[in-house]
Amino acid sequence: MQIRISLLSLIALLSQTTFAQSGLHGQILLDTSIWRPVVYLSLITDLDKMYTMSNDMIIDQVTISGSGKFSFDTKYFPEGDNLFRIHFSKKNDPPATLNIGGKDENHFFLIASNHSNITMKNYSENDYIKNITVIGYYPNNIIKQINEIAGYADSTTLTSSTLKNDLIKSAVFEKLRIIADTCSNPLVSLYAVYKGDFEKNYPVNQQFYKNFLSKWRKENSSYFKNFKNKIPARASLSIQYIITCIFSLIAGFLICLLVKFRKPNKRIFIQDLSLQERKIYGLLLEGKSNKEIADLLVIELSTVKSHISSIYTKLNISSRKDILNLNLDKQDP
Amino acid sequence: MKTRAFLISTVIICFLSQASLTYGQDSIRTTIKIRQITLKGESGEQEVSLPLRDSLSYINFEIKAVIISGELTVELFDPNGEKYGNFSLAGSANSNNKDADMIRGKTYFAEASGSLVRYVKLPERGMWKAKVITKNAVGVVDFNLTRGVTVLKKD
Repeated sequence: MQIRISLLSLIALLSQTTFAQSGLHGQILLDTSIWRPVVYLSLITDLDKMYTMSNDMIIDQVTISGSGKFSFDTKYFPEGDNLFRIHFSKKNDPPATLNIGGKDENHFFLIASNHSNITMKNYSENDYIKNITVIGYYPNNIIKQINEIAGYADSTTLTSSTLKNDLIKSAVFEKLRIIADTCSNPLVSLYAVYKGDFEKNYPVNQQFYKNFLSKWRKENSSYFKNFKNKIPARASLSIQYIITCIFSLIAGFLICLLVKFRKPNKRIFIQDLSLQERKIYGLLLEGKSNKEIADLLVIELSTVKSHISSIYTKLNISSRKDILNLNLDKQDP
Repeated sequence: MKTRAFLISTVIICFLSQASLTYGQDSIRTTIKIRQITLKGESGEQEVSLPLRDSLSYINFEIKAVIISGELTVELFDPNGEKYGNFSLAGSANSNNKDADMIRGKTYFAEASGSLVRYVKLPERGMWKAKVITKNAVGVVDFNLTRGVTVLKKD
């Protein structure tokens, strides 16, 4: 009994220690004569909004202590991995400030969950954002690697030759696709896809994105839902293709039916027949047999048969009975 | 014939040496405010042309925006239509919005600011463009260019 109590106490103590450790902790060197000594934390629910700033996105803020330390509680974070943005604001700027590029760049991204225990640190006030190291959760190492690769494309934008620039960008995007393909963390993998400018590269690498979606088909986080919606062209294209095919088949079938059951409305004129044929046609109307017609017109029986065959063809009929039903137009065409 | 070639080569070399001795390279940097757009709650899309007619050593695009309310997106494109960066700002949808309570301890005035800085070495000549997309936006957008030209300078 005593052993059981001891064990339970130990477990409770360990779990308490674990919870006490979880959080986003940091120590940062910041020129507080320029920057407000506050760290802001935004939750990015859609990777398309990485470069969107609004007060509504800021979920928490903490004050940086005199020694540069700060700490966020992560217990209220959503379950599973999420992308967060940490940013700083200058004293004259509103808290919801996003500076991209240049010496005043003020933000960086990290992945965390409600169980994360992450430490951030920099060692210099200069380029303080670029020098921040994130330790404690491995996906953030890959995030940093992705940022460095993507940043390489930015830093080399338009060197002396456009061709060289294109080649560099192409290599960078290829590298990011490789990371996206091989990474085991879905959010990091998607982050690499976004950094690889998927909207621009989708038309030329459709198979890659198809495979990517197939690989992460079970992912139903908001990030993947939004991403799937971002490729409507692929989905709608195939649906459109199927719909077009079905409509074409239906249309083809209907046309065939119409052709098959269409009543011939060609007007038949007596003038279409030769003089001899008209005579034979008249005798046929009177119900004369081939032999009688041959005798009356003093021609060979075979000639009568030939004329009758010609009459059938011209009048588009197949028997004597049809001749009786036929109403020939005697007017000129 | 050989003597003439030698003489011409010598003259050219001397001229080039003299030129390099008396002239050095220097960079002239000029910052220009291209345009300022004041937004008074309008919605729609505006295009700002940033023409580059001269060959430059570099150019630094700096687009800054502040909004009091509404939504704003700024995108920068090179002469080939390739996007060079973007950012979006959004004012709080509603000051009474419950989401505002998530900003722990404080509720801020619905205001946001942003900037996009892009340094381009040997930029392509042509019409660079910035697109400003707004939705009931109240605020200001500034477009600044810093142009760098490398010139020969006489010592």
